[in-house]
Amino acid sequence: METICSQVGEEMATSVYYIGRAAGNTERFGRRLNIGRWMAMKRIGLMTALGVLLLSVSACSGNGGNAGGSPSAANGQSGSSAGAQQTNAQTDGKGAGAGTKAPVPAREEIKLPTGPVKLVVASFEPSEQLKQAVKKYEQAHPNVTVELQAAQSEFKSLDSQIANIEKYVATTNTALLSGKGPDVMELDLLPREKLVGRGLLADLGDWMNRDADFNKPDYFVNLLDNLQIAGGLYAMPLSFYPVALLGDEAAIEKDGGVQDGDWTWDEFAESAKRLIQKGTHPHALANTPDYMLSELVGERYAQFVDEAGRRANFDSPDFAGLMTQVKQLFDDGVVIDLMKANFRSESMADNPKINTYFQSTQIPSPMEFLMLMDQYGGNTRVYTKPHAKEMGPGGYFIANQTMGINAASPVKEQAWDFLKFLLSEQGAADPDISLGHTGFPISKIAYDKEIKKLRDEGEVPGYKNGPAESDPFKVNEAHLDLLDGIVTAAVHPVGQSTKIGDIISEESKAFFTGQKSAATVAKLIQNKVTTYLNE
Amino acid sequence: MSRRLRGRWRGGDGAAALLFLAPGAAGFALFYLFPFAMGLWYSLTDRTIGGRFVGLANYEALLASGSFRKAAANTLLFTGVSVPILIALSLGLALLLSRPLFLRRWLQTAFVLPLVVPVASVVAIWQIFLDWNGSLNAWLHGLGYGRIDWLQSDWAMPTLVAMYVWKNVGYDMILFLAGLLSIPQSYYETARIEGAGRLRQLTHITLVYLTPTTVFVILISIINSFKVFRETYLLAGDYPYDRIYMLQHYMNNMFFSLDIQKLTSAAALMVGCIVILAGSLLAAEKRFRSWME
Repeated sequence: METICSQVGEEMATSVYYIGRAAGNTERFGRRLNIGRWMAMKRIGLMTALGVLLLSVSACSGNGGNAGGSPSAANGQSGSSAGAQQTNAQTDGKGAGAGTKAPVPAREEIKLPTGPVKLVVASFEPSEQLKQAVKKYEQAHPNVTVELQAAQSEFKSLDSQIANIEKYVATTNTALLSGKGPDVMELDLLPREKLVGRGLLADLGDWMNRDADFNKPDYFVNLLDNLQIAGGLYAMPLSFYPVALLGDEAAIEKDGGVQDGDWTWDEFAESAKRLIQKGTHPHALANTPDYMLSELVGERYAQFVDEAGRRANFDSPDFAGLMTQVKQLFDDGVVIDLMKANFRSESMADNPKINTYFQSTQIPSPMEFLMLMDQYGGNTRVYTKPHAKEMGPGGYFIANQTMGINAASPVKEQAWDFLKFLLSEQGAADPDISLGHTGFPISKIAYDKEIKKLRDEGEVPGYKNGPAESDPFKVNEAHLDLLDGIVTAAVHPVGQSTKIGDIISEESKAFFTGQKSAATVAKLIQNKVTTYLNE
Repeated sequence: MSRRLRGRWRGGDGAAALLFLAPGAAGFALFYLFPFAMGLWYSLTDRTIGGRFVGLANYEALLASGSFRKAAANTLLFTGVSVPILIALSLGLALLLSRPLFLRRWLQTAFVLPLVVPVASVVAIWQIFLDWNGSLNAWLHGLGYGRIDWLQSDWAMPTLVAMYVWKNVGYDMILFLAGLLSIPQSYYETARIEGAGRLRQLTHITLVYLTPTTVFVILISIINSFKVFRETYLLAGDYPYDRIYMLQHYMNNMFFSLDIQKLTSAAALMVGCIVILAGSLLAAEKRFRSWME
């Protein structure tokens, strides 16, 4: 374990391939890999590195007597241009759903076909969980054959990964456009908004309302309601990751405290500067500059992008100012650059696991939340994530493994039934399945079961799985209550990459490494975003 | 003429010809004609399945798109600039290499080489060469000049032209060499006897009798100028600097955003332009031939 970790730490940026192989060795790693992989697909540049980082950090923390250690720092994809994404959804969906909403249909029992049915399920790279679920579904429904289509069976190298993704997206899009394609498909990599805009996906909200067998309160409706595109739910996540900002409360209070009630990234930066002057920790947060920039842009999206008017405003002094501001934060050490960080280092100066006031984290599981809260000598507190003023209250989450149903599927009833099964399957708390379980289940019942189990047992047992092992530790019930609050208050989906966000983070790298001036980079971004907006 | 043709038909040659043409024609129809016809139909409807006929609405939307106009202008500019440069260079090389010259064979081979190198290797080399932190900038830096972002500044278009010329000059040169060989030497001898200078020989014999070859080379070069997209895409991605954002970028992006309507209308417009261009070039050549006779 130690060797894997050290290599991961050192070669972070370049050794995606290696990690993929090394991580594949253990189940525990395996499920992390899913995140890393998923992210690598999404935003190939920054995201790959962050994903790897997340992978390495979290994988290295849960082990060898380091119960207090944490899957930490890696900011994951939290908050990527959240504003951007909302606006996108609105404009893209125009003309699709708006105004055509039918009155809520009467609830009925969905009649399934009794004859032989063939259901085609497509996933870029099916998770173990999905494979198990397919098997179980076939056992439960002898007349149904499920064909699981995969574009890739294992992670080989980043290059083949990118090529496979392009192929998967192109073939699935083409099939859908010609009225064919799988009945049920994983949408994480597909252009959801565009598919919805073309009317190619079925509105799952309708099915939820229609099906007398589907009890909405059994699910995290707060999440589903906020994942709507053009007034309908087209992409159903099978699981999610709550995103939280954790902080070292003792140190923060000692150094003057912060007003985190309704703070923006600007205000966060102000407070952070103040904190590090006192110097309990040398840095306030770990992040990458290009990522932070896209977060800041997301916060004031309308100022820079006018989607309806097809105009961008990145060549303004405001944007150059924003870039300079972000660079300053990193130059001053207020925020430490994840890419330059060394997670193995004993020294406070460059190890963000021990030297930051705050950590922006996506929480992988209730158990890991307990471990996260155990850091900073037990003084961890959950802070509000900085956000735009107009964002409104509520927490953040990343939807994981979203599934959709083909609007042209001839067996939609069966497809819906299968999807329903997947959702509840998460809740079956089957030991086989929960091992490959990524994130928190969308089923509230399943979540409650998991929490109850933790409470009843009062202790997280130590486990050994391949080279990874951990010591048992006590369950802190107050922390579980806190977690209940987090998952029920999560309303802002984050982490879906947008083309504009990608362009910004890609081009700004040259500025942050000091190779190009802010004005040059701003002009390039302006140039490309304008092209994108006017297509 | 028509009687002769009918005679041939009766003789059965025509039927045999048709038979032999059939596989090729079927392939062409299956992979080009039929899909293109479907594309044309898509460009007149509002969606791919169960679409409604919307007339020219898609074309209107297409022309309203600023990025499409930019892409069209860039493509036109690129073809308009790079093809003449390429023709001039390859003709010059052909004239140079058609006479005895030191290392002639080796030079000919060297110019054709870029054609046979796989695109992936070509792109890798160009990437290393042109990158912001690449070799070319290192040399510039060594010489005391500032760095240039070759593919992300106004240098992008000249860079692309250079790549295109580099890749195609050998091929065009070979075509011209073949054309030059077909001009009877006796013409030059007669001209020399009558006291024509070298320049006069070039403009009144070589260029004139090379016209059919030139027309063909121009056509091929125009077609090849569209193919530079492959290298551009691999080097600069789907949203390159806007000077080198070509029609194919637009179409490619439209495909990935599922906008088949705009994609097919753009393709139809482009094909229309190419047909007109090729048609007028061939017509000019035909007129030239009849004039020669």
